[in-house]
Amino acid sequence: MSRFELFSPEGLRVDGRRYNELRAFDCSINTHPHSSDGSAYISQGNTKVLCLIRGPSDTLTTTSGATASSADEPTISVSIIQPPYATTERKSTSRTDRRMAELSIIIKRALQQCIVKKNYSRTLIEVSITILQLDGSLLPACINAATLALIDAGISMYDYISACNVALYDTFPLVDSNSLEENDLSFLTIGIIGNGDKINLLLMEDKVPLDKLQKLIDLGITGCHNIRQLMDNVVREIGIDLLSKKL
Amino acid sequence: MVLSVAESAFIYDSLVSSHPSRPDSRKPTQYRPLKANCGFLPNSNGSSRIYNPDGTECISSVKAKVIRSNNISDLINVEINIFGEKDNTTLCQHLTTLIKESLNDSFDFNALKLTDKYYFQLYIDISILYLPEDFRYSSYTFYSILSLISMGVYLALKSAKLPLLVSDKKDFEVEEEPTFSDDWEVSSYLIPRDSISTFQPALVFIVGIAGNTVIIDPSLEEEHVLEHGVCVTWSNSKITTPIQSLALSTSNNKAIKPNLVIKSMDLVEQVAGDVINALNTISEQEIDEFDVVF
Repeated sequence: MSRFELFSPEGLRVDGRRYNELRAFDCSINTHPHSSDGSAYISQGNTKVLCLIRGPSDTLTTTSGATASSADEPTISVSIIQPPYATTERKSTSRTDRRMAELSIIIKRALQQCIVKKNYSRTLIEVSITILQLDGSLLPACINAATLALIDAGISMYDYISACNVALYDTFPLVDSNSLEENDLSFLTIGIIGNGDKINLLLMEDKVPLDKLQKLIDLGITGCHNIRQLMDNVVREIGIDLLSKKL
Repeated sequence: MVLSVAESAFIYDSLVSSHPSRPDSRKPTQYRPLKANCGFLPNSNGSSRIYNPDGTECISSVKAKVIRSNNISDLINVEINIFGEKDNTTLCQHLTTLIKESLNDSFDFNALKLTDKYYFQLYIDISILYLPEDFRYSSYTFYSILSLISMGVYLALKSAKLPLLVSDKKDFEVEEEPTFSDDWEVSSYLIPRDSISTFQPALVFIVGIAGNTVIIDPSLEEEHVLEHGVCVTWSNSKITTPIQSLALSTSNNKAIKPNLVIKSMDLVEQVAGDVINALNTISEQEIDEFDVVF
């Protein structure tokens, strides 16, 4: 069992949240106007992620050597960089880290679902994600940052794709888990496109009792909707601001 | 960026003329505008983000760790990670050694001394998030980012804070591990801010040479026609080693006259004070909220 009381009898978690509360959420878009076509920064609690997008372009060649080849959909190349200072204890991750390669494939598949493919045949979209700081919920933060950066790049999408983690403590689901909770509890990642309840991404690497699964998914969907709302507020605010400058 | 023969001849001629003029109408001592913030990574002791208008961006972090050692030479560790470059290229290794050596020479290791047996070990990690596309597919070597990296490291070190030691400083006879106060309000700066015990970590300046003209902070267009580049290190109000010649681009390299090295050192002497003042002002700005940086 953990050294910490992850969920107190009063219903409070290690960082003082209730089971259904997200961590402090902050995001901004167009953070790197000169170096990318779309960029976003996201911070969920102490997890801070930066996402830069180049493309869609038919001439771009990425650092990984991918080229635009597919005739009916865009080629998306995702690279995740985790600098050694991201974790509390300094730790170097190599560029060919298998965990990162796995995550980038998952992100790529999720993004492919929400981009309007027919508009971008024979193009390449390069997504590069930098993890500035890591405190749990890595995959959701990457997905959320990538959505915002895609919006900033002006790439047509069906809707936002928002993701969040849900951990299971005994019989209680806990939304938006931090690294302390993820170390000791089993958790899953859910990604939703838009405001519906169709699951676009589901990653579960731990064992979860079958009868608790529905509970986790339900809470995850609510969490995703909340995150989508938060991102949408920021995007709309920036959009209104841009429009007012145009007039 | 690939310049035509006429373009590069024009830029070269205006640089070497008796009244040198630069393509972006800067003075020879003038920098391109830079933006920087520091202290925005709560997980690191010190951090900084510095970026050029052309998009080159450098994020540096300083992390401190307690070790039991008296070997001063491994107290400072540097790691550079460049977007799109492998970690073990000669460029990365060369930049790493340059930064590490310059810091080792300029550092006051008393600031890292914790007790009789324990020291703080610093890990300085630098990531270059983006390099302009032009840079990548042309005759440029990446050495001109050295000046940006060095300023980033300076800011990160300046903003670094260390926790307060609560156990005894004299532990030579006792078997005791150092313990620290939990309160970050009582932490102190790694580089003291009072005028007596303070010191300046090394700053590396990049000077471009064409004809008899020396210019600071060459831009991409200028690098293309420059005959040579020199890196000059400045710390604790004087010029120090390493002073090194660097090929900024491979298109127009020529030999270097000794008096031009002296001239570039003079140029650095002129600008260094202002650069240090500007960087110090940035590092002394307090950040209330971590996320406002982006």
